[in-house]
Amino acid sequence: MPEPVLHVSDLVAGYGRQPVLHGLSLHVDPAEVLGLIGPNGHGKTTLFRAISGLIPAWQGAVRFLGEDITGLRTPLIAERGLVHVPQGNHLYPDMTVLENLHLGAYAPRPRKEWRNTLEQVFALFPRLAERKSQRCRTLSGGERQMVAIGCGLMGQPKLLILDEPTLGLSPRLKGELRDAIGEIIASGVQLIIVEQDPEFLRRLTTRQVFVEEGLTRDDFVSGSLEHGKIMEMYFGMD
Amino acid sequence: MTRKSLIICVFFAILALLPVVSDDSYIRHVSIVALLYAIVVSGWNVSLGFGGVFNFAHLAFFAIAAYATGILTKTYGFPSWMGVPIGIIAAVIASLIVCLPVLRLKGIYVILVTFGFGQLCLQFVLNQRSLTGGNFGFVQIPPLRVFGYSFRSDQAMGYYYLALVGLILTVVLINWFRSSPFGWRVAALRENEDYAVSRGIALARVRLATFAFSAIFPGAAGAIYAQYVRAASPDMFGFSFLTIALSMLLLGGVATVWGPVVGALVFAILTEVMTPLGPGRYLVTAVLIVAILRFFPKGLAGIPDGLATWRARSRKIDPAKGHGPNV
Amino acid sequence: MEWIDQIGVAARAIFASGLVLSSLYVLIAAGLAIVWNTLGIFNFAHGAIMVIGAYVAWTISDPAALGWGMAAGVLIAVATAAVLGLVINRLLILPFLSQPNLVLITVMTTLSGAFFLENSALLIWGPRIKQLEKVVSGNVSIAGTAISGHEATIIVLAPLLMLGLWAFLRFTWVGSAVRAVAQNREFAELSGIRARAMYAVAFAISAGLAGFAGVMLGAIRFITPGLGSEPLIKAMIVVILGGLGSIPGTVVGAYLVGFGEAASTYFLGAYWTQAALFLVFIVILVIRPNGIMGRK
Repeated sequence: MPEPVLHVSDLVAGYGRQPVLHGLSLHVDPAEVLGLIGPNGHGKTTLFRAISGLIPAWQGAVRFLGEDITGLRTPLIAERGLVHVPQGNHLYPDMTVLENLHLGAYAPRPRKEWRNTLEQVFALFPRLAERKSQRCRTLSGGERQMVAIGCGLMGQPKLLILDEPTLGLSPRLKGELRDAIGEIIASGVQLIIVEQDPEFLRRLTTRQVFVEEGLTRDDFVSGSLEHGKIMEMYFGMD
Repeated sequence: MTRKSLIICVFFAILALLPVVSDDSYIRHVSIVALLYAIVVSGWNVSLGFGGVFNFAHLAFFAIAAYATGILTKTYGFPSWMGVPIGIIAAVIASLIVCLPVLRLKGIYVILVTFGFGQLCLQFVLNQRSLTGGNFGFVQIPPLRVFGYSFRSDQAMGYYYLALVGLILTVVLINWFRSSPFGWRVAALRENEDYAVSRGIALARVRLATFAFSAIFPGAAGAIYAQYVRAASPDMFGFSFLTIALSMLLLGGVATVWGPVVGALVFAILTEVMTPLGPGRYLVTAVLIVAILRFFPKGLAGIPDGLATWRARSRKIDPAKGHGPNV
Repeated sequence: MEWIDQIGVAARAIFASGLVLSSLYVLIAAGLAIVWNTLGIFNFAHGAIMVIGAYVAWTISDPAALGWGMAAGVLIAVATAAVLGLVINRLLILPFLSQPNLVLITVMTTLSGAFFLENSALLIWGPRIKQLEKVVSGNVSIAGTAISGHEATIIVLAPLLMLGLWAFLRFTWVGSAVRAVAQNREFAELSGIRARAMYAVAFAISAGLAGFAGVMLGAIRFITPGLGSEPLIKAMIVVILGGLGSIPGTVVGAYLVGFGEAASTYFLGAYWTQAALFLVFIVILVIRPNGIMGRK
């Protein structure tokens, strides 16, 4: 059996003295596209922050492409091709779109081919090509999200983590962005994506995992996520 | 009588008996300066520690008081017993002037404005040579003399007790301040300014009062200092005084009543011990400040607490071991 | 028409000395600004780094010491200053980086750093006043006023260095990364940018500029351990005037303060100028804390 691309085992992490993840385990196999779903505040973002080294793992281990990356500094993890696009509009607000994308390719490997990658990103998000000399501060929420995903792609990820990219967008923009993410997946980039729409996850991802109270619940086989069950899990747990 | 108040009484009793034990003029001088420092630093603790306002003009209040006392008693012939009231009034006025711009500012800007104020005063002192003595300082300030008793007699015994009484009053006043409604308001503003203001605390009034209150102490100490050494010098606005006072405050522990007092006395002794090092003692001072900030952010006052946690931790095996952030 | 001549004389004198002062302030303030920009801290040891730079250049170049010539003096001084900047960053800034009140703590640590460096200078080089040779000898005439070749060098080099700094920050990978860390540290690290290394780069550049400014100043004024404190305070005014952290704003601020100081020295005299500058400084801080060019 081939080694998983990402293997998270018994991860404990949190903020201050308060753990948010209570021994969470997760794996992404080669050629798999993983969808994460679950109520807000139950550890999805914390999981990603611990994977990419933004917060320390208190216990447990993270292995990426067969190597232990637990405790490695964030930039070194990013250099290995594990690229995390954080939630919200985390950009360089006073730089242009082009500068933002350019810096996405800072690591040595993607840096060599950044012009090619840039063309691909512009092909995916034509709107960014139009706005390339505009400061990110002046962009709309949807455009910023495109820049953020674009920056992630500029890093030529071996595994891309998208933390709820459609959060707070209008339905029309959501659709647009989801189409783009579909194209990214079709182009062969492996990714983990957080979404609150089971329908969307089922369409795009090969496997879905439910994260709740800092742990993963049963893996859902594609197609088994029914609306009613999700509603129950979100609201009906007495 | 609680154990704490017993310790306090013993502490002051030792200080009060010190002149009886030794009349060595050098020890006397060092202890007078240490007591005055303790007063100044305690005052700084009011604005910086309890108030959380990074007021870098505090030592300028001390210098202003010294100059005001010197100039009014020497040039304008005020009686020497008015020195301390003059010093206090001058320092309080100065503090209110500094506080006005500070009311509108936050963070680094507060530091820059208060710092700039000290430099502005320094420039003024250097400019007004005929009034202040300029570069050379203001010298031959009349010593304190009340009903024919010179405070300089018996190796400056009078100044020693004056400073000691000053320190006792300081501790009493600040202790009162800390547990008064006024003190609570000050602490509330430090902890959460927006919330405190929304709960009806008048930021401007409380902050002005904090500054004025904190300036009383450098005001009194500056006046006594000027009358004791009979001079006020532009150095008093400089970096060295500021750094020394800062290390005393940090050494003792910010936002505690006793921290600055203990810090000032310990530091003064330390400085004397280090005298053979010459300018090297300043290097030690600098290293000390950084080390305290790095390893003992609560200063000496934090040691009992730290010990308690350490003891508690070593007594029982921590069930959450490994669960803490391993930074 | 004698009064026209007199105005001409005044204007020329103000112009020449204003240019020299402004150029020095540009060098010093740019270093402060770049550190404020990337790390969000105010380095009070900046002036002390200048002092060390000046003393090192003296030791290397002065015939009474090593006597290796001025070129070696400048180079080694700048290098020493840059290394010093790295040490300050490592010992006085990085350990406190995760503290919530970083700005205030680093004011204290860098003040102690300044105290340490100035007293070290006193211990190493003694209280005797020293002066550096001029980097360039001879005189140059600017707008009819003669200034030394050394001062002319400063006037020319300051804008060139700023241009170089701007190009570095704008067009190189590392320069862009320094700006990136300043704007969003977390996002930068997620792209593989090593924030700590960028802080080191910013500090080294800042300190190198300070060292260079110290050498230049040391040939105009006498070198004492306190050489840096007055220019540092001027540079603080410049940085505030320009809006904390903005390099173009800092350059404009430097020329404003420099010419303002020159004019005020001419009309009011040296002593009142200092007081006037501080008054302006405090008034600006209160009216426009974000600087004359800063935005809300």
